[in-house]
Amino acid sequence: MAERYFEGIGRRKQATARVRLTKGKGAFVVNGKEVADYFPRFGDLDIINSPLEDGGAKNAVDISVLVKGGGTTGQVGAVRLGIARALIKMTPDVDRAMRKGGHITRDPRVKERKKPGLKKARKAPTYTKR
Amino acid sequence: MARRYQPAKRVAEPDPKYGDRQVQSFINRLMKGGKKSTARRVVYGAIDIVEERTGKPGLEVFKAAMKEVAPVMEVRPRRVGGATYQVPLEVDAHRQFALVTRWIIGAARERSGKSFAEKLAEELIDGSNKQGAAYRKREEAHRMAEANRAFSHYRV
Repeated sequence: MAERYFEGIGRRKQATARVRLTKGKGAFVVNGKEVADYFPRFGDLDIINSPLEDGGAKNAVDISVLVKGGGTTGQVGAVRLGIARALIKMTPDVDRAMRKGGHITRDPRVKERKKPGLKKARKAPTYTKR
Repeated sequence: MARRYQPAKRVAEPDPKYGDRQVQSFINRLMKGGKKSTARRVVYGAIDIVEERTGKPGLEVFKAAMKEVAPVMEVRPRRVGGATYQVPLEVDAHRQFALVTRWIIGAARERSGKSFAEKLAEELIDGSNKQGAAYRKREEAHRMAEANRAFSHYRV
């Protein structure tokens, strides 16, 4: 492992992904599994690959990801953000393409906390006059 | 309600199979309890069945149904001096989409027997041929608008 790598950290919802890019030819491992095995849900791969395609790096890099926390959707989004950030570190001129594709915007939507006096984040108990 | 500014409209991301926002939106409307994968399977399944039965590209039939079932006019209640009138109004594109989606999904749920994907497929085929319960809803809306033409000068 003398090969130099570029790291990018991506988060979405409760998930955190640590992404490492090395020059390569398209290997992609997530938590020790092949991407397609780790994210088998239809459409998820498109989301993960979108920054690679917009950055023109599809088969030019090897990727290794450690992703923790959250559910599938969150992890997918976290990996996407991590890849985009790592790509920019590796080749700064993809920055524009990444911004344009919306790949380096941290999706700020998170679960809203439950509040005291309410049943859920927003749901209030039925009003009774007395 | 926000007083200072109008929040930006959020549109659905394109769906992964056809890359179409309408399809994704349709899936979202059909989804129950946040189960997007299930909803997606049903819609794609329905479109595949449509393709099989009509021999036409499924997405085309879907679009045709959405277009045929969309109402041009509808009536909305408006109170003027104690009396409520049914005032005919044109339906804007956004509301057209909302109504069409609701009607087609509703009509498909009303159909009996078979899997939901099949029922939805049949409703889509019917819709594209100006038939089916969803299409009747549209006709009903138009009839109401025509019947209440006299109140059209009220506008809402």
